Amino acid sequence: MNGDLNARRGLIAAGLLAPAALIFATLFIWPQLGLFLQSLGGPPTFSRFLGDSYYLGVLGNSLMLGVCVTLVTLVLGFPLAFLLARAETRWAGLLLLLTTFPLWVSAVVRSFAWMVLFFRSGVASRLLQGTGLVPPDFQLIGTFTGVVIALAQVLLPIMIVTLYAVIRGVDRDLEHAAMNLGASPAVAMWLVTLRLARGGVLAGSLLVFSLSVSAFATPSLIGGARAHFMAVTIYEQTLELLDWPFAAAIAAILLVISLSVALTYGKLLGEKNR
Amino acid sequence: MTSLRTPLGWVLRGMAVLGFVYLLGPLLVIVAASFSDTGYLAFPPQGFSLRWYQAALADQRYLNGFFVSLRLGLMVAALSLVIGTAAAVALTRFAFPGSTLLEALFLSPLVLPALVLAVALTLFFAANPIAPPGMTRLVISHLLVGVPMVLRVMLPVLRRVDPAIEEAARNLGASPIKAFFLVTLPVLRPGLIAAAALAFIFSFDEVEMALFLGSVRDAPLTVVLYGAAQMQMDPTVAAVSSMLILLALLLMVAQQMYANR
Amino acid sequence: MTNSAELVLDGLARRYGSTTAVARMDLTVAAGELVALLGPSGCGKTTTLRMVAGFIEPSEGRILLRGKDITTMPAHQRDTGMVFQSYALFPHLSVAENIAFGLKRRGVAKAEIAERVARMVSLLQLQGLEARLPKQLSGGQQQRVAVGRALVINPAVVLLDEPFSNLDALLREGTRIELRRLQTELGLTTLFVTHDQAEAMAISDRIAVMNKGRLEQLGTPREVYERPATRFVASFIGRANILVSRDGRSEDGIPLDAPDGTLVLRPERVTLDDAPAEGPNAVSGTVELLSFLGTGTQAVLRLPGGRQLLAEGPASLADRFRTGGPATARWTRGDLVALPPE
Repeated sequence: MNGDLNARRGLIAAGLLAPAALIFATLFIWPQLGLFLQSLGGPPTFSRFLGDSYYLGVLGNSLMLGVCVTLVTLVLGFPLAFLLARAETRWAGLLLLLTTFPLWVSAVVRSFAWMVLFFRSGVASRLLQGTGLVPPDFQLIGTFTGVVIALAQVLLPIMIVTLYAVIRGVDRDLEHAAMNLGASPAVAMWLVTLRLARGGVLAGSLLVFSLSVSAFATPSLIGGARAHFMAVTIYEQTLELLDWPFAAAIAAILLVISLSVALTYGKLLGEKNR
Repeated sequence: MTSLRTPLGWVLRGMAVLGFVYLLGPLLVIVAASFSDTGYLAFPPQGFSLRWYQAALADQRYLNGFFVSLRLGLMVAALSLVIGTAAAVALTRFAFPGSTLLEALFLSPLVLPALVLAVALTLFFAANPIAPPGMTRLVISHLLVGVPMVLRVMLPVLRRVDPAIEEAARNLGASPIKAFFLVTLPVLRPGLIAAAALAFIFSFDEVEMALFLGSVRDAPLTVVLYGAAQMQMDPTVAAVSSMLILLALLLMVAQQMYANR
Repeated sequence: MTNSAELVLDGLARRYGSTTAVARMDLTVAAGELVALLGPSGCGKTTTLRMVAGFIEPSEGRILLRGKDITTMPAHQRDTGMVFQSYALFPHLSVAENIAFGLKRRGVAKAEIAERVARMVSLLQLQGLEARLPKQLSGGQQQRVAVGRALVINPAVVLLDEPFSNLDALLREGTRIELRRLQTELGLTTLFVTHDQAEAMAISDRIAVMNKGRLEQLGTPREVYERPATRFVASFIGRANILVSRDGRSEDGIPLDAPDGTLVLRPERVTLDDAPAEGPNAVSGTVELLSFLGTGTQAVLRLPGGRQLLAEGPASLADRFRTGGPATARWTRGDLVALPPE
């Protein structure tokens, strides 16, 4: 009797999982494996990528972009996340909602907003021209700095949401205990909150890093024709040059970076939950 | 908040204000610029006019793109909701070996670059003789992210619901199917709405997969916008962007009002 | 109380692989009777209750409700009304809708539903709260809604799963008296799961003491307290000094006037004085702790052999003895209750 019941429950579970499993098997696992096979078959694509200083420069650019964007989002995101997590007013919920609002708007729209500010007569470019540090016809469009500024804004909400959840998880009384034992607020934040939130800070940083290295819309729109980034190169190779094996190889490199970051990320969050 | 009445507190506050301006400022800039009465994009705006909105609404590419995106978003949201919720129920209500691993697999597209998914799917569909046409292809590709989004919302919701309420319903005379529809489903409804809204907005906003896999003739709005933004600094792009910001705002407010009801 | 058997558990057992959650349990609950399943967590009491409700399928045995075999009947067709430990109120339904839920499933006419819900609401003093959602109620009010929801359907048997465990101490006592009054007035046959022996003693007609999946003893509160069947029952219900007597001495050398075997000596049967201990059933020691209980004073006596002997007496004990000072404990042969040999 129990065997029957278990078999029936197993059947129900399998039925519920079947559609999702089918999608993941055919559209996720198979194509990702195909990507690796495609990049390995035919001409030696990986050695072409790794042996060409131009493509190595592209990889370097993307990694550098990842580092810069991560740092900017961390520096701007932590104070916001900390204050929102610790706020006791009824405005806190509204402010948190406002912080996540940009996630509801397409990255294309958000990048376009920066284009308005960055082109030659845009406010941001004109301000820089006014300082006299840059040539009078300078514009932030097409520069690495411009891409960093825009992409950091696009990814900032993700950093804030991750940090917010982690800081909320730190018991406020721990900070109070540290202060009760003689630590100044700054020291208490450094020794207690930041240390306990370390795993989450790292997890948020890895996520933002991974997303910036592989970002497409913002680098392509802000970077323009001189956007030498991984995702933009893949786009060109696939849709413009039609060199699919090579595009697959670059995508595979990106996938390896993202996968290793994702595994570390999962491990970090897993440890936090334990 | 005693700890914030210190120099550190003021530094934190200053940076938070800066962060807010940085985060939301550009969106306001684009809305302001869209009303400018100039033939080019200007910020601060000069004059006030709605002519770029008229131009945008008269443009067949934008209009067509909007309806393509709307159809796409609705289909992806509906399918993701059904498939994702079914999987979430299986993962939370049935214990089976490998369920944690399966859950991690199902959630992984959320941390993988959309562009890599897009390239892999492009190669996959190219090699597949029975590849479906553009729109269908894009819908099922978007499910790869839509289903994980639904799972991410529904897994914690399902774990939070007291499983005893289903038993209570059965104890009071409801068959398992009745118990699901009378008790479980209504309790899950806010989560389901939030999940569907997220899947919709993802699909509506997404550009990478749309560029790679969408049909050229029926391009989604984001693809049209991406093309237009690349070509010239056209104020109609600002007008369309502003309308999209307004749509996102309405959607978010509606979802919040429903959730807090 | 009539003696008709309303609920019968006949050799009921539940095993998970090689572990036994409930071992062949026989229990008969008479109409209108309240029987408590009492034991520590993991003793199988909740598994037993859930088998009766139909949420767990028995590995063996039968369940009879009003003479009908319901062993394999689906949960929703059984005529049981259960109060869950978490209350399991439907969060999206109002108080009135929660209470009406079971009546609607039974196809009761609308007018009658309204009338029965109203009667239950006034019986449980929930007037004015009918339109509230569960989250807008206090813990005590939620508990009453859970009770009302289970009782309004007039079930053949009411199943209570630790229904007081989420209430604070003060509320708990009042609520259990109220529930007992309701149960007696309505003549409800009730199976009641608890780990709190004082609670079980206070409101049950009979107590089924369970340990490690076995039914250790079934009897009235006085029976299980005064004549415990096993060492486990003696120490789980009330406080007890346990002495193993052999040839007129306990295992640690206290002279006893008692037959050989395991003996239970309740603290309130022990008297204290300051005369030297002479003869059997007396022992001297050092007072280790005196605690005032309100109704009296409890003394912990440390004996030379190392044993802690519990004694309870009037509040004045605290005036006659002091911590660290000597005292002699005495009792009579009649105070020693022999456990049946195992």
